[in-house]
Amino acid sequence: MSTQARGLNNFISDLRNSKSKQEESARVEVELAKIRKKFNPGDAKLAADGSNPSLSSYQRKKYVWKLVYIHVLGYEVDFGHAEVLALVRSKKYSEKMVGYVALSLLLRGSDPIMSTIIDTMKADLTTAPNNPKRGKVSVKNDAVQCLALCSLANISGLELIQAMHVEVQHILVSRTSTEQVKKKSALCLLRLTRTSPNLISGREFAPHMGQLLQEKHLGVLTSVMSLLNGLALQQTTDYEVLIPHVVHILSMLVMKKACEREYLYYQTPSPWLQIKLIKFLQLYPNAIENHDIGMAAAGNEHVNQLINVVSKILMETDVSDSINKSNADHAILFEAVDLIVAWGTTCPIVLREGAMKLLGKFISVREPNIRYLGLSTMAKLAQIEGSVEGAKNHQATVLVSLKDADISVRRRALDLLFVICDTDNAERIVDELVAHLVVADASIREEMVLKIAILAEKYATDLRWYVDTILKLISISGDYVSDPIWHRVVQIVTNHPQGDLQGYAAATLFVAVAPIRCHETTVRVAAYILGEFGFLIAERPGMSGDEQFRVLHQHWFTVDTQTRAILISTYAKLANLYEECRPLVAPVFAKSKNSIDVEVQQRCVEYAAMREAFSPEAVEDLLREMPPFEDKRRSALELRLLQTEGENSATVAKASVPSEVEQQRALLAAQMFSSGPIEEDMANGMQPIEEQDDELVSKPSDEHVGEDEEAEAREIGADPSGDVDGEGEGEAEEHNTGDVVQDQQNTRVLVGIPKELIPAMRKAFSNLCTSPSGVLFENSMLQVGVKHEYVGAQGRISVFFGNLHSSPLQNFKVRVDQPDHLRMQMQGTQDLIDDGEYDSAGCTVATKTQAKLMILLEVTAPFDDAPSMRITFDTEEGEHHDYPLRLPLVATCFMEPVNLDPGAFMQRWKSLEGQDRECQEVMKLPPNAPEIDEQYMERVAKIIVDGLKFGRCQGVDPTPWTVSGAATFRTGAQDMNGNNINVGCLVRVEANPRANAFRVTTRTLHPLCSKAIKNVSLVFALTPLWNELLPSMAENLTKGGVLYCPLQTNKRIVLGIVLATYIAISNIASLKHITVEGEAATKKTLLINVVACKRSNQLPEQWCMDDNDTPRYIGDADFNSSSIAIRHYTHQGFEKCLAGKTIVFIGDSTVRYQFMHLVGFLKFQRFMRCQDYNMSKPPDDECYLIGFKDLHHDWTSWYKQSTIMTGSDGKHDEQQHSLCDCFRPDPFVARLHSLKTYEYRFVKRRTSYGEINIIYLQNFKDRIRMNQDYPPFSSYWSTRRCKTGECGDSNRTFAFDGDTNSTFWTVLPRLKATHVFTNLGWGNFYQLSEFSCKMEEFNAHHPDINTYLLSRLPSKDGVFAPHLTFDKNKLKCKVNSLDRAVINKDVPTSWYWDSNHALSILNEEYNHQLTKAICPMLTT
Amino acid sequence: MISMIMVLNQKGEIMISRQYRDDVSRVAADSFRIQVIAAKEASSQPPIKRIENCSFLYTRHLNMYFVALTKSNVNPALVFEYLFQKIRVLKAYLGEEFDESSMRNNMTLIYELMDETMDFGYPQNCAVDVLRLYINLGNVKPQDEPEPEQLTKQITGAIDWRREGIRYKKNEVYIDVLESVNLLISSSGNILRSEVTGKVQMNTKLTGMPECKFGLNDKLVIEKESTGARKKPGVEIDDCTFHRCVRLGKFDADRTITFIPPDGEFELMRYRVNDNVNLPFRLIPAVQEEGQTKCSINLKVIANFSEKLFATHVVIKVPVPKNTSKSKIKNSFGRAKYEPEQNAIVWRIKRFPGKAECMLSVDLELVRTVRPKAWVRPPINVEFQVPMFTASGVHVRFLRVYDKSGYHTNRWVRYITKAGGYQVRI
Repeated sequence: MSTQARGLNNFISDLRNSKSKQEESARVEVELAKIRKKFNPGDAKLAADGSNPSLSSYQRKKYVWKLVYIHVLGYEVDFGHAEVLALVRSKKYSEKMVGYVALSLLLRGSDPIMSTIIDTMKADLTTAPNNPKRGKVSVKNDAVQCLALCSLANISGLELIQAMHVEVQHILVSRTSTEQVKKKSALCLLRLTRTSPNLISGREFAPHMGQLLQEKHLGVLTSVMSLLNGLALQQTTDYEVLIPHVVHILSMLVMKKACEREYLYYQTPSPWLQIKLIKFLQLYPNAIENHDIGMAAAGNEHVNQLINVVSKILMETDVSDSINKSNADHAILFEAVDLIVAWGTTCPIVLREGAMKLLGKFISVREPNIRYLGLSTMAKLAQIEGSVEGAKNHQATVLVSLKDADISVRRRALDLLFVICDTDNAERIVDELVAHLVVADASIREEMVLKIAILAEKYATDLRWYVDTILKLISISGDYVSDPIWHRVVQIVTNHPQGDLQGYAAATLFVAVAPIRCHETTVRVAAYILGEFGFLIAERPGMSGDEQFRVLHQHWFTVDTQTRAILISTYAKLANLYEECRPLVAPVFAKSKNSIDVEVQQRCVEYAAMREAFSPEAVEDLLREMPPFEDKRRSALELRLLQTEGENSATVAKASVPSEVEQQRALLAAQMFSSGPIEEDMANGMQPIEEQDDELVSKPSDEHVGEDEEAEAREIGADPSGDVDGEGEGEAEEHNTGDVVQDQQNTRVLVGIPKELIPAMRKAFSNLCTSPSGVLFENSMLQVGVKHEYVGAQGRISVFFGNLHSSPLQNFKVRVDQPDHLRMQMQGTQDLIDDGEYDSAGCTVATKTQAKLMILLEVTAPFDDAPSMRITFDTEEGEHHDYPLRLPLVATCFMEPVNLDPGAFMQRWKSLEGQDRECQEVMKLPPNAPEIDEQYMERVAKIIVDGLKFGRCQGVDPTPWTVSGAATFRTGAQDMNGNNINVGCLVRVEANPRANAFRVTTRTLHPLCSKAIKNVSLVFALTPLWNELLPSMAENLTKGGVLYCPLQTNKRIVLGIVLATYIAISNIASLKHITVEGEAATKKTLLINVVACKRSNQLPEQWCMDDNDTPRYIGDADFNSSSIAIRHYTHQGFEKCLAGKTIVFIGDSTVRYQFMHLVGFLKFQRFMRCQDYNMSKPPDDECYLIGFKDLHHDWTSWYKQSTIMTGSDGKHDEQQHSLCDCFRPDPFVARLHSLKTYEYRFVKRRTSYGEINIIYLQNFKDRIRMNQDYPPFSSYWSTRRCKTGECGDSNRTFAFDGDTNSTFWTVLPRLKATHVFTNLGWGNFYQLSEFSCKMEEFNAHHPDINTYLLSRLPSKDGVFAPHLTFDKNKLKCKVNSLDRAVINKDVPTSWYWDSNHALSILNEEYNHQLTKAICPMLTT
Repeated sequence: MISMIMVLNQKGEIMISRQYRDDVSRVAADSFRIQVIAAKEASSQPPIKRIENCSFLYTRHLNMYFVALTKSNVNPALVFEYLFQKIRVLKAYLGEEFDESSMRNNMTLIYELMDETMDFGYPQNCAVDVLRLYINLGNVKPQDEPEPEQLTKQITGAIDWRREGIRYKKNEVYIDVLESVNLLISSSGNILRSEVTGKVQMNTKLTGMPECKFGLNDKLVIEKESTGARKKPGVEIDDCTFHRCVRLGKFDADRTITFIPPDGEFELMRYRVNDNVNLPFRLIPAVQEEGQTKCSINLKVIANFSEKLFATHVVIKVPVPKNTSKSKIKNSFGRAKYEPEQNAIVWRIKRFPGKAECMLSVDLELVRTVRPKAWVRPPINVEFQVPMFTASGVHVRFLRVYDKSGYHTNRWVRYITKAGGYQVRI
C-alpha cells in the first residue's frame, strides 16, 4: 500500500514525530474531522447505504486505512462504517481486503449494522469454489473465502454465528474445498464454538469429524485436531467414538513414521500433531479400562495399539544431540506421561513404573529444562494412588534439586517435596526444609515458608511441634512469614483448647520474646497469645502478669505501628486481668493518645476511656478472650497458595485434601463443641422451685405445662428441666429440694438451696430475663453472675462464679444441660465444665476469685423452658453443695422486630389469610375500665413494640383505632435449602371505642404462634387494668388461655413469649411514667427556673424560704394556697436575656456591688453566697469580689483583684473579658479626693446567644470623667489601655469630664448602651426626683436607650421605712425605675454588712428584678 | 516541625537538600522518587504523601519538586505557605523562570537562603527585600550596605519587613485590584455558583516608615460611617486574608486596614465575594439536536458592563459533538471557527465594548456513528479580561499615607477583572 497512499504515509510519520501525547491526539482529532468531512460532504448526496459515492476507490481505501490506524493506536473510531461496508461489497479484491480488515477491527459482532453485511459475507463464503475452467479467478475466490472466514472468526457476533455457522461447517466438510480453505474453516469454527458453546451437536458432527480425520494432508489434520480438542472439551462423550481414528493417526506417525517431508521436524513426524492427538486422548481417562479382559476383541484393537504407541514413546525416546530434536521428542514424551497420569490407576503398572523410572532419570539430568519438566511431571504422577512410594525413592535426588542454580527448578523440587510429604515422612521433610531455609535463596523463601507452614499444620501429630516449627520459621526468616501464617497459628491455638496447647504456646512465646532482639512477627504472635492465654501461665514463676507486660513492652520502641496496635490490645487485656499491670499500662496509653497513627491513637483513647464509659462488667465483657474462630473449609494459607500457583497445580490439589491427622483433629473438635449426650440423672437436677404456683408467671423455668391431664395435675415447677419432649413424667417424682439430704453413697453432708432463698432467686431470674446482666444466685459462699446478649438466633452467655467464702471451694464443677433445641459451645476455666464424659475432679476456686464459663448458643427450634445449670462443689468443712439453677434464656430473647412498609404488610397479611394461620378474638372491656382514647391506643402500640418486640407498621393504620405490627421469631435451624427457619408474625389490634371493645387478629406462618400472640395482645390491651386483673389473668394464663392450645407441637414457644413479655411489660409500665415527668421537667428548666417556696414567720412579709433554706423575694410570684412558685431566669435565661445588649450601671458603691454580682453570676453561673448569712465565715475566692478593703490592704489592690476575678482567668473558658480603669488614693478622703477617685469597669462576655457588654461607671458625687484610652474613646481591645489587673494612676488624660446628665448625652450613645441603670452617687431623693426630668428629656431624644432610675437602698436602720428613701410615685417626671428600696422593706439588719451595703442575698434579688425588667417574663 | 527541605528534579535526583533535624535522611528521597515521581500521575496525586511514618509535603515549580519532610504532626498550611514563600524568594533572586541550571549555578546563594529562611525546622524571615539586605550573592546588586548592628535590629525588630532609611524622590503607590469571576450556570439558566476572588496588589515607593491606611467600600465600614449623609451601599466581603504587615487587631476592632508597607511589590490582601456579583457577560445559548445528523447552536452574548468600558481577549468556546463533519458558522463580529482538536467552535473577539450584544449561530452536520451515543454536552467556556471593572463592585475609597515628614504621595489605582471558571451548561 505504501506506494499508493502517500497521504497515509504522511499521516503516520506525522504521528510518529509528534513530541507529546497531546500533540498526537490533536493531530488525530484534526484528521478525524477531515475524514468526517470527506465521508459526509454535506452537499453531495449519499448513496443508499450511507457511503459517499463521489469518493474514488483510492480515497476510500486511504481513509479507511487511516481509520484503522487510528483505531489501532487506541483512539475511538465510531464512524465510517458505511464506507467500510461499501469496500466489503466491492468486487475488487484489493478493496475487499481493506474492507474485511477494517470490518474485523472497527466493528463488533453486536453492532446492529452487522446484519446488513451478512448477505455479502455469505456470498463470499459460498463463492463458487475451484472452478478449474476459470483458472486464475478461482484462486481469488479461494482468497475471498479465506478473508471472509478470518473476518468472521475475528468478529464472531452471535447473530453472525447463527447466520453463518452452517456455511462454515459446510465448507469444512465439503469435498470441493481446498486444503487452505479447510484449515481456515476449521479454525474459524473453533473460534465460533468458543464464543457460543453447544453450537454444534456433537453426536451429529462426530461422523463428519471422523471423515475429516481420514484426510491425508497433515496441515488440515493439525487444524482439525485443534477444532476437535476444542469441541471435545465441551461435549466429551460425544467424541469418544473418534478415539480409534486418533489412535490410528498416532500409530501411523509413531510406529510407521508415515509423514510427508515438509511435516518432518528433525526426523520427528509432525510433533505438533502428535501432541494434539495425545492431548485429545488425555480427555478420556477411561479409554483403556479393562483392556486386559477385552484383549482379544476386535473392538479393542486400538487400545492395544495405543498402549504400544505409548510404551514405544516411553522406551525409545532418548536424549539426542540436537537440541531441537530432543525438545520435540521430549515434548511428546511428557505429553505421554501426562496421558499416563490422566489414566491414573487404570494404566498398566508397567507403564507407570516405566514412566517413573524415566522421570527419575530425567530429574538427575544436567539439562535444567528436562529436570524442570521431570520434577513437575513427577509431582503430577506422584498424585496417582500408589505412585508416591515410587517418588519417595527419589527423595534424595529431589532434595539435591532444591539446591539447583535455577530458581524455577528449585520451585518444582519444592512442589514435589510438598506432594510426596505425608504423615510418615512429614517431620523429616519439614526439618529438611527448615534446615534448607537458612541457605535458601531470598526469592524462594516466602514460598518455602508458606509450604512448610501448611505441611506442619497438615501433618502435625502433635500441635506443639507445629507451634515450635512455626516459631523456628519466624526466627529463621521472619520477614517471609506472611500475616496469614501467624494468624493461622493464633487460630489453631485458640481453637484447640485440649491438652494445654494454649498454655504451652503462651509459655513458649514468653520465652521467645524474652530476649531484646527478636523478630517483629514473634512479637506479634506473642502479644496476641499472651493477651489471650497469658493467664494460663501467670502462676508460673517469672511469668506473672507484670512480667509478661515487661517482656512485651521492651519491644515497644522497635516495632512498627501495626504491632503496636496489637500490643495495645494486649496491654488492655493484661491491665484488665492483673491489678499490678494497670499503673504500668496507663502511661503507655496516655503517651500514645496523641500518636500520629490513627489506629494506635484510637485504640489507646478507647481503652483508656473504656473504664469510665462502661460498667466494669461491660469492660470485662469487652476484654474477654476471643471466641473460637470459624473453621473455614479452606484456610487462608491454602488460598494464598492458590493465588500464587493457579488452580491446576499439583500442590494445590494436595493441600486441599485434608490429612488424616487433620480429620482426627476436626473430629475431636466437633465432639468437644457438640452437645454431649445428656445423662439421665443429670436431667433430673434438683429444682429450686417447688411449691409456688401463684407467682409462676415470673419464673419462665416453669413455663412448662404438660399438655395432658397428668402433667397439669402435677405441680408445674416440679418438672425436671430435661422434660423437653414431654416424656419426663416418670422421672420427676423422686426429687426433694431445699432440704439437706443425706446422700446414700456418700457420707458427706449434702447442701442444696435453702427455701428462704427461693423468692429472691425467682426475682433475680425474672430480672435477668429482661436485663443484659445481673446476679443469678447469691448466698454466703457463692455468687453467680450472668451476662447475656443475643443477635438473631444466636446468643452469648457468660457466667461468673465468685467465691465469697473464706476458704477455697474444691471440686467445683458446673454442668449445663444441653437441650435439643439449643446448639451450645462452652468454654471456661480449666476443669470447670463437667461434660459428663468422665469423672473430672473439677477445679478449685480460691477465695475472692472467680471462675468463668462462656456459652455460645444458637436456637434451633421453638422452646419454652430455660436450660438448667447445676453447680456442685465441696467446702473445706466437708459439705457437698449442689445447686440446680436455670439460665435466664427464654424465647423472647430471639424475637426480632420487623419494619414492613404498609404495602408489604398488607400483602403478607392477605397471604396468610386462612383458617389455621389466623386467630381472632373480640374482647369487651369490663365496665370499670378506662375509656378507650388515643392515649390508650398509644399505650397499646407501645406494648406491642416494647413488650412483644414487634416493629410497628405505621402506614397501615388509617385511624388511630388500629395498631399493626410485625416481628420474626428467629431460629438457627435450617430448612431443606439451608436457610434459617424463622417464623414471621403479624398482629393487628383494632379498637371500637363506642363499644369499648377490642378485636385482636394475628396471622403467622405457624398456627400456634398466631394464637399465642393474639392472646398476649389481648392481655396487654388491658394493661391499665393490669393490677386489678393480675391474679385472675395469671391464672388464665397458666390454666386456660394460651396454654390450652389444641396443637401438641411447639406449644412452648407460646408460653415463652407470654411469660417473658409479661415480665418486660410490668417493668415498662412503671418506667414510662417517670420518663414523661423527666421530659417535662427538663423543658421548663432550660431558661426559667421554678422554685417552690414556703412562707416563713421569721421572714418579712414579702419573703419566703425555698428548699435550700435560702430566703427569696416573692416579687411577682404566683400565689397558690399551699405554696408559692417563684419563677426566675436560670443562668442560661440570663444570658439569653442580656445577649446583644450593652448595660450600663452608673452609681455609687451599692450599684457597684450589684454590678459585681451580676458579672460574677454570669461567669461562675451562681450568685455569690459566702456572706449570705454572716461575715465570720472565712471568705473564699469568689467573695473577694464583694469583700472590701478589710480583706485587702488598699482599694487599688481590690480593684485589680476583682477585675481579674470577673474577667477571664484561663481556668474557665475565655468567654468573659474584663477591663478595669481604676484609681483611688489611700487614705481615701472622699469629699476632698473624690474627683481623683475613679472606678470604671468594662466587661465583655461572649455567649452562645450573642455578646453581652456590662459597664459600670462610678458616680460618687454626680461627676464622671472618662480616660481617652478607655471605651468609648478607645477600642475595647486596644493595646494602649492598661491590661487586666492593672490599675492606673491619677495622671491621665481625660477625654470627657462632666455630670451625670452630660454623661447621658455624651457618653452613653458612644458606648452604644441599650439599658442604663443609674443613680446619682450620693444624691438624695430630691436630687433623683429633679434628675428624672432630665432623664425624660434624654429618653425623648434617645428612644433606643432604655433608662432606669436605680433607687438608693434604705440604710441599715431605715429598712422599716424604705419609702423615705425612694418612692417612684413621687418622682417629678415619670421615668422607669428599679426600686431596690421596696425589696429591702423590713429585711433583717443582718442582711446588711454595714450601714449602707447589703449582702448578696439582696443583690441577687435586685438582679432578678433587673433581668425581669429587661426581659419581662411571660406568665405562661 | 520540618525536618528537611529537598529540591528534586524530574528524575527524582536531589538537587539541593538541607537537613534541619536529624530524624530523616537523604535516603528518603528514594521512596519519594518511587512513590510520587515515578508514579506518573503526579498532578492527580494529593500534595501530601505519607511513606513509612514520614510525611512528604511537596509542590512543583516547572519540573522541580520542592519537598518538605517531617515526622511530626505539622500544620500543613504552614508548611505549604513556607514552600510557596520559598519559591517566591527564589524567583526574586533567580528570576521568574528559574530552572534547574540556574539553581545549580547559585548553590551557595540557595544554601544561604535555606539557612536564613528556616531554623531548626521553624520558618523564619521570608521577606525578599529584607533578605536582600544581607544575602546578595549572584545577580542581586548590593544596595546601600547597612551596618551589622542595624541589621540585627532590623531582623529581630517589630517591623522586620521594612528597613529604615528608604528614600525616594517621588513618593508613589500603585494599587492593582485584580479579580477573577467564577460562574457556573445550569442549562436551565439558574446560577449554580458565582463568586469573585480578588486580590489587592501594591507597589509602594515611599520614603521612611510611613503608616498607611487603606479603605475599600466594605459594607461594614460604610454602614458604620454613614450615620449622616446617605452613601452608596458597600460591598459585602466574605473572606479576607492580609499581608502580615496589616494590623489585625485594628481590623478586628473597626475594620480599618492600617499597615507599614514593605518596600516594593507585595500583595496586600485577598478577598472573596459571594453575593451581588456583577457578571460581566450574559450568555444565552440555544441548542437543538435534530435527529442523529444535524445540530444547531445559537448563542447570544451580552456585555453587562458600562459602555465606557470594553473587554479584551474574549474567547468563547462552544463545544460541539465529536462526530461533527461540517459546520456553518454565522457570527456578528470577531472570528469563529471549528477547531477539531478542542472539539469546539472557538470564537475570538479582541475588543468587546460594554452593553454590546452579539450573536453566533452554528449549523452542524454530524456523521452517523456505528453505536449511537448521546452527546454529553460539555459547558460553554468563556475567557475574558475587563480593565477598570470589578465584578464584585469593590473599589478603593482611599489610601492615606502618614509620615513624619508629611510628604505628598501619588497614588495610582487600576482594576482588572478576568474570567476564572466562567462556564455555562447547555
